Amino acid sequence: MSLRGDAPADESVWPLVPAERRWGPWRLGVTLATAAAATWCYLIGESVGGYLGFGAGALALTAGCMIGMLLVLLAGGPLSVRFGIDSIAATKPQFGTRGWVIPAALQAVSIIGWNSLLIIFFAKSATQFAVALGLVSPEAVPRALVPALTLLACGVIFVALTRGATGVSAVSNILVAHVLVGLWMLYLIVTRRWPELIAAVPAVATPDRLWNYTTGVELGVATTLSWWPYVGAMIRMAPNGRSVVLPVMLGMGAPVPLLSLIGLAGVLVLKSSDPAQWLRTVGGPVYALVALGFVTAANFGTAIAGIYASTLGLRNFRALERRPWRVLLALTLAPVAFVGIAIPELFFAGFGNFLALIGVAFAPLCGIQIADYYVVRRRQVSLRAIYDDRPGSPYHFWHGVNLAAVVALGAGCAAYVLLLNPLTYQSSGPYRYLTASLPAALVAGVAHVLLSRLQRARHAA
Amino acid sequence: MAERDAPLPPALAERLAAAERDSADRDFDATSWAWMLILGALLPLVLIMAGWLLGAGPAT
Repeated sequence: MSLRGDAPADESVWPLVPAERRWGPWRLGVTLATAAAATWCYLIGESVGGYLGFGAGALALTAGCMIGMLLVLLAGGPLSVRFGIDSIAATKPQFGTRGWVIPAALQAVSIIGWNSLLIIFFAKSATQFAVALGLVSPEAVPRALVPALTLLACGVIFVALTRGATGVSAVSNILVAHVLVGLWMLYLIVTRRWPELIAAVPAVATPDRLWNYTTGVELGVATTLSWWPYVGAMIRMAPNGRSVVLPVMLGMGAPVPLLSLIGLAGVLVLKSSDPAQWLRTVGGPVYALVALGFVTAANFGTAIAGIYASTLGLRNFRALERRPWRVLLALTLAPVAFVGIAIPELFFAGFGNFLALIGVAFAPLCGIQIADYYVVRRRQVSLRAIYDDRPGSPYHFWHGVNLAAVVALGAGCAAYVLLLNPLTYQSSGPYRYLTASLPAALVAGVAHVLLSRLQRARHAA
Repeated sequence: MAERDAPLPPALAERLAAAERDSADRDFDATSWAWMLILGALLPLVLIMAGWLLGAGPAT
């Protein structure tokens, strides 16, 4: 079945019909693993390594990542696997036929922001790679090289994604090798520096060991919750719920903590989470070269998946519904290219905090979606109503916005910030027992259920 | 963000009908739930307890 007789279905937010959903578990798992593994893995490991040793850090981070992945899967997963729709379309039953712009904005800012960072990282790694290969003199790196590489990366992503989800999958089949390279790097540092690794003391650990441990779990949960924008666009390509569970939980949930151990081990033993630096110490310049190749490939694969999900999200805007796919790709890539070329250093310095604040919203968002599907609607969702935004349609609510979900989202974000300031890591209340993400999801979910019931009671009255 | 005044386009309506047909069967089944609970709840619980026993818990 064609979409409009011209555009492929995977470049549209219209639901995919069963015949178009042909990705098997292996293909989905490879794509998700390639998307998940990037520079941020060893930044996450570095963060955990500040508070916990290797053993406790590995366990806390893995536990947190698997919990976060479960929440993401339960949030948007049911609607994506049942109807073949993306993450943003799946928010319309909760937020309304206009209110979906709130999660869409979160998705766009998060993906474009993070992918700008990744592409800048990519360009810098590629520059270092060129220096290491002797193609460029370290004393005379052309100033235009990083912007030129950023532009090149955007161009390659554009070309790859002209094939839609098929392009994401094709690139992932090649780049997935970097996950194995990452595991090899982990093997190297663990086997060669095991005694130091076990004896290493985390640099900024607090005297409260429970707080340190909870923070390790929280970092894992929060990290995987930020995959929410990516998951729907990918799992809708698979035929049913059964075929997505293991690829998501193991393909996306497991590589993040595993590869984060590279950063965790690096920061504990060699005081650097960047494998390109410590592999030179451990194995010499050839190993450093391999690490640089790893970083370059890893960021590239993630950026491709992210740009695809974000471009697909744009299709939900009526004005962009019928625009050519290449126009939407250009619209998504333009801010990324602008940041990478014009203001990379300013972006590095100032945008990280903003992204940390944005990330706070994903836990409440997941809580709302889970509560809405399993409690408020008891799995009864109308696909037709998701695409019917006329006044009076079931998900039109109040001027197209469901105030219950908006208030619940605010309540969840407030709960998170009250428990843990994401910028300073100052905590309060029961954070040390509960983390911040899990109570935030619970508060938002409960608020959504109560407010939805109140709305229904008033409507009935 | 303009709203759609007209009924759904026929191509979309046809697609919605096809996607909605038997959609409940594509939801997570018992095996899916078992894996989700094992990997997303039971495993983390075991890992957290193991970390606790390794000495990450509160100082006594």
